[in-house]
Amino acid sequence: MKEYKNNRVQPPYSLLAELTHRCPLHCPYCSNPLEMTLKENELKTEEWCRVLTEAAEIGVVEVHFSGGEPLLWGDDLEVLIHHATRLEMYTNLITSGVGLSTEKALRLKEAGLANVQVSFQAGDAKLSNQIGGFRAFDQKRKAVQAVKEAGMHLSLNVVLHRMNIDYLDEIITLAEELEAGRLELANTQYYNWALLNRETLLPSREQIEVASKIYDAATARIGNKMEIIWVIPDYYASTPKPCMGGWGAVALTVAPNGDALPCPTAGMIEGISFENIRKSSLNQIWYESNSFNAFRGEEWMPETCRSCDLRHEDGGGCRCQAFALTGDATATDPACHLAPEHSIIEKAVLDANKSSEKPSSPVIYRNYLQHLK
Amino acid sequence: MSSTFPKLAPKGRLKYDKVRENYLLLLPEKVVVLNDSAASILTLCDGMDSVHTITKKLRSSLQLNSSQADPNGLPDFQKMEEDITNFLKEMVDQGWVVMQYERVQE
Repeated sequence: MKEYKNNRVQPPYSLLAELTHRCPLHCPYCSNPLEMTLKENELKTEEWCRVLTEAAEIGVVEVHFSGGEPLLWGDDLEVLIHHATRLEMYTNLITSGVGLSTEKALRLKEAGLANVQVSFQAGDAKLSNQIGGFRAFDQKRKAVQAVKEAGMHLSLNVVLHRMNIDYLDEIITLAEELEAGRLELANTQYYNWALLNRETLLPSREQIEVASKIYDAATARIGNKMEIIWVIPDYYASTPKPCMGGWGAVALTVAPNGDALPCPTAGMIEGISFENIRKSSLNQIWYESNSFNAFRGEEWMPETCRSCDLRHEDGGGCRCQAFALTGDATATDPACHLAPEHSIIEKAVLDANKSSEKPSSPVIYRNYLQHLK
Repeated sequence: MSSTFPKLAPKGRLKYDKVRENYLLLLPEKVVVLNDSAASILTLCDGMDSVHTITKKLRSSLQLNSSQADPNGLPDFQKMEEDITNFLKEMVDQGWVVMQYERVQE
């Protein structure tokens, strides 16, 4: 195993393969960058196959095909899944469900696909369609049926925010009705599109507390019949999340244009240049690149983190959040109550709890066409 | 439980990872790094063998691997079956192994 500086760099476990930024949905909390990759700049089949081979060689055992909507990337998705399966990697498709027919699901299963994660925006059609900015709810239900018929494991993912968190009960009921094996309740993380819309999306403390109780009751009632994941909103926690298990620690993302990133949102950090798989091997990028080494270990940490006992647990928090909120990617994550700039989070939380009035700013829907690179 | 047939859950895949030189259990959004005994039990969970048979198989492979080939050095059969049963119960609770009352038909 290789060593860099004094830090032992371990092989990565998972790869997030973002095939395309194109998507039929316009969710206002999308984690894609504000500037998206054009279709003609997307990686081609041979390039993705090479990425998968190199990923397997450095230790990746799980691949998540995502986007945008990965089904829009092209029919060769089957080729990629087949290739990853031959490399003994576990494959997961993260999809809106739009375009996933029974026939398609059967072909993907045949290619080796193990798990399908379908997103829902809410438990009922009207709200789900409103949040996604597209009438997708019925298609999502059909996609779920297709996954079931093909005999693949089904996960549902619902991003939670001010507009849908009060209907958590309905969401859980829907997941049970659809016989999902796993339900991810992901409180919005505020980067990119979600940060633009934070005023509209950030729930009040009371909303979070009620939802948290609903989650507790559901896990107690449902037991191991359906795994329910509740991702804690860091705006309401006093300590930050160890984002992605640490920068360049367990996972990597390859963006539609071939940029290799330590996490899906890292591309937003200015001042770091990320390597592209068209020019460098994944091995070189994972072990040697300045970008992946930038926040490994503790040398980069500000004094607040260096002198803190929790630094081994949270690694200083999320670098993207530090950059997005303070303009300095080496700052302590403002979600931490000890961070010098924690007041930024406190102010947002205060605003979200001020009154029951609806936020004044309009929702900015994610729009592919107006935001091309 | 000794006459039930444990089988890896359909969502799980067992893999020997050459990079880490370790057995892994791959699951949706999760990778479990297995220790040697967990791996040796799970590789036998194909729905064809009962817990009793799995115990026998593991015991004889221990016998083969033990340099002294001293049967007294091996754990008591009943104790071993109990340990394996407890381990499998945990796996069932996690949803990673399913128990069947009949052998899987090929």
